[in-house]
Amino acid sequence: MCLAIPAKLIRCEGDDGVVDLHGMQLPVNLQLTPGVRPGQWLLIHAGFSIETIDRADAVKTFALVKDLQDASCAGNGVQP
Amino acid sequence: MTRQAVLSPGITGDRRSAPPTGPYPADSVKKDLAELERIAAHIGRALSFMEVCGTHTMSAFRCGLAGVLPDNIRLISGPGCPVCVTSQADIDQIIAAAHMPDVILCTYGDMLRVPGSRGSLESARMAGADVRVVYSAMHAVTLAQSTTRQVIFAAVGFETTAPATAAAVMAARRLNLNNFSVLTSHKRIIPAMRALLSSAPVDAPCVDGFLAPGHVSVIIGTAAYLPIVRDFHKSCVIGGFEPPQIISALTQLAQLAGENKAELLNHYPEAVRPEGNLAAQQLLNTVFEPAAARWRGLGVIDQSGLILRMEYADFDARRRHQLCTPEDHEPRGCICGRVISGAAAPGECPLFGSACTPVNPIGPCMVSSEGTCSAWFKYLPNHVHPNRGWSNQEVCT
Amino acid sequence: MTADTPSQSETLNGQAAAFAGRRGRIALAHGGGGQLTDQLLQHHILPKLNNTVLGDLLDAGIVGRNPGRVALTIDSYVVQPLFFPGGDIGRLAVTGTVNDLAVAGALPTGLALGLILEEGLETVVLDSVVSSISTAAEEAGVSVITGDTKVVGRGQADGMYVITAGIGRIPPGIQLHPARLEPGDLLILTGAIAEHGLAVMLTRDMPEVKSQLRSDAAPLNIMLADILRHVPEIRFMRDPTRGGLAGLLTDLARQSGRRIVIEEALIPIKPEAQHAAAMLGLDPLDIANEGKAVIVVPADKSEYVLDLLRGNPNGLDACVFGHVAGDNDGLAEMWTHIGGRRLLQKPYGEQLPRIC
Repeated sequence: MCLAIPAKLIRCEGDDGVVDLHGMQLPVNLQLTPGVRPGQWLLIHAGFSIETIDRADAVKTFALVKDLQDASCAGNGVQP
Repeated sequence: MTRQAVLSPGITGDRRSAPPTGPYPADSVKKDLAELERIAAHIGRALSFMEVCGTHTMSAFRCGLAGVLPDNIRLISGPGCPVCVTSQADIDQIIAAAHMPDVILCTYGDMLRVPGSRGSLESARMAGADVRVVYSAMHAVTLAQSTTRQVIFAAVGFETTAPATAAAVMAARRLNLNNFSVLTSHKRIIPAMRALLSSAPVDAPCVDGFLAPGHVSVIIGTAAYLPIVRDFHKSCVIGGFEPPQIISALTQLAQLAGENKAELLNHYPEAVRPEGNLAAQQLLNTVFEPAAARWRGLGVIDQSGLILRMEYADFDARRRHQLCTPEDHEPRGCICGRVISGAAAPGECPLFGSACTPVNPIGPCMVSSEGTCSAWFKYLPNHVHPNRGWSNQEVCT
Repeated sequence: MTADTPSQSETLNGQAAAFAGRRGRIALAHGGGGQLTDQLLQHHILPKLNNTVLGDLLDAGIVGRNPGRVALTIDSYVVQPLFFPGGDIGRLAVTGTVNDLAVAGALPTGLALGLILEEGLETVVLDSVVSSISTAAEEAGVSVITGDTKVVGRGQADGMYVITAGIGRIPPGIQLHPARLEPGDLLILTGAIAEHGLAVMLTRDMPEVKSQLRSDAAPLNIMLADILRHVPEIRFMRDPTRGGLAGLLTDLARQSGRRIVIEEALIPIKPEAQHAAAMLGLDPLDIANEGKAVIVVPADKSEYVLDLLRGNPNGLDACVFGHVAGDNDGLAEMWTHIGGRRLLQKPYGEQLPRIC
């Protein structure tokens, strides 16, 4: 019932963060994942981060989005 | 002359000169499908698994899952689409709120076309109501800061979505906003699963296990499913939403069913922890408390809803705007209730595909893009034959 | 633009219409190029205006006999915002109309331009849009040869609306029609999908999001005329604008009476568009494009057509993504990554971001 997508936190100030989703930068509310730091991967639902995930898993989920796309290509635009 | 083009990422640049003879699985899923086939053949009897998440419904239909599953394995859709399980009375109340003067009604895009007993939010907007689609509950709060009009945020959804509403209410309190309120029908999935299993109507499906919703589980944690496993001897496998993840979760469920075991497994460990998201749970507990709630098709289920606590009652649109509770009656002839509880397949509904279509929906299972009826109509190649032969009873022995 | 299947519209009963609550009013979705646009045409336009040319519901109306056939098309542009990454309402007004002529096989000979301006519009906005019209027309090698301007009171138009009509000449020997599709034909897309619709939607509805997505708006007439000159056997072409690829393919299946099959793994889409669509809960197949075309070719010509397309800046990512199957049931289906199949469905009309 709930769409959620993995994205990387690139900056944050208090509960307000900005994540990078394949070159797209969107503001997210971080209050459901207190203590997260830039560089961490988050699961985003309706403008909120709902959980942290590790990068390897994030890339795996990306790869599944388009099955034939290889993991390195899915990571493009997201600097480690 | 053959040009060796440099293609953009994501583009296969296929150059074939003849069409293939039929659909073919990608290499990455071949192994999993073969494994599922092997287990299913070994078990021999028919197995029905239920997902309780609209995103699972959509993903399964969009990848044509039914056509690649072994003949004796079936995935049925339970009460997991938040729009579909919302009672007619609640939907009517939201539409009535939109029609009030000097009100801006904000909601998620999912709600715009849901039919009430008279019209929808879309038709309210056509008739002049100020209805706005927001992507985040916080946008509604921001809007309330910039206007003197009353802003009502209408939301439905399970535990994944409810924390965002709670956060919006907290923010409105912090900002001392007296023109912001919420009109919610948030629901909890576990009480619904319990109700489905314990008060099963005679024609309810036999469920051999649950494909548990990945993103609800992110919030509530894996442990929340233990009572289902323990008390009802049903396996729960928490699964992700991509087709290969669904196939692997189903393989696991079939394996467990074959061994006559009931277990709780987490196939989405990258995001789901045993305890869930404690910060989100705490926020939910601060703002909401569990209460009985009416579900379309399932009736009133104890502890299955979330209502605002007394401390936050000022932000309850029902109270602030003295909204009356409309009578609950479901559209005549519509069997959405039975579809949601898994007791009937959409094809058994006399309205399906004729009177009720995605363009002119009668019941919410057709209008919600993740509703089972909508998925049937949109994606099943044989929807043109409404009596397509299999109903939910058939494999239930 | 195409019409609803009679079977579906005839079965709508009063009860359904009443529940849907849309009796007698226009919804935003009636303008989305989806199922509701079909209903609008079927119930309100065609009953009074139908004729053999209009009834074909192709991208352009074609009149006259060979040689000397002429294609005429018109389009209104009401996009909000007026300016978006990769283009603006002016560029769109040229490329949209030029492409409608191009996919009809016509060589555009001139454009007519109508401008409806709202009282209070800043002249610098108008100047900028007219500059874009000029640049895009130059790119397409076509001129604006007549025009009209009107001003309406404040609040009566959203800044400005642009209307363009185009006229073009169809070279002898070109016969493009859905009825010409044959089983075994291959479907080619000239590039990646969904970028225009997403770029506009993000700019309009989510200004807080920064994205690299740009509208793909581009005139395709020179490229398409080139391949038609080399491969006159091409069966049909159409641009997947409003209604997206799903709208185009379902129309094409119904109009041709053939089964159209596409393969999920072959659909060209760039990762940034894929992820933006996923975030908004939208199907990329439903999202508008303004610089792409679907070309149906006999299988033995596909390699040649691809080579020609890839020699053009607007066709670098061209690829085969489906075929015409033997079943004559008028359905469009997709073969999915896992080896399943599902029907394609024309989108409803209004693209709404979903969270569920």
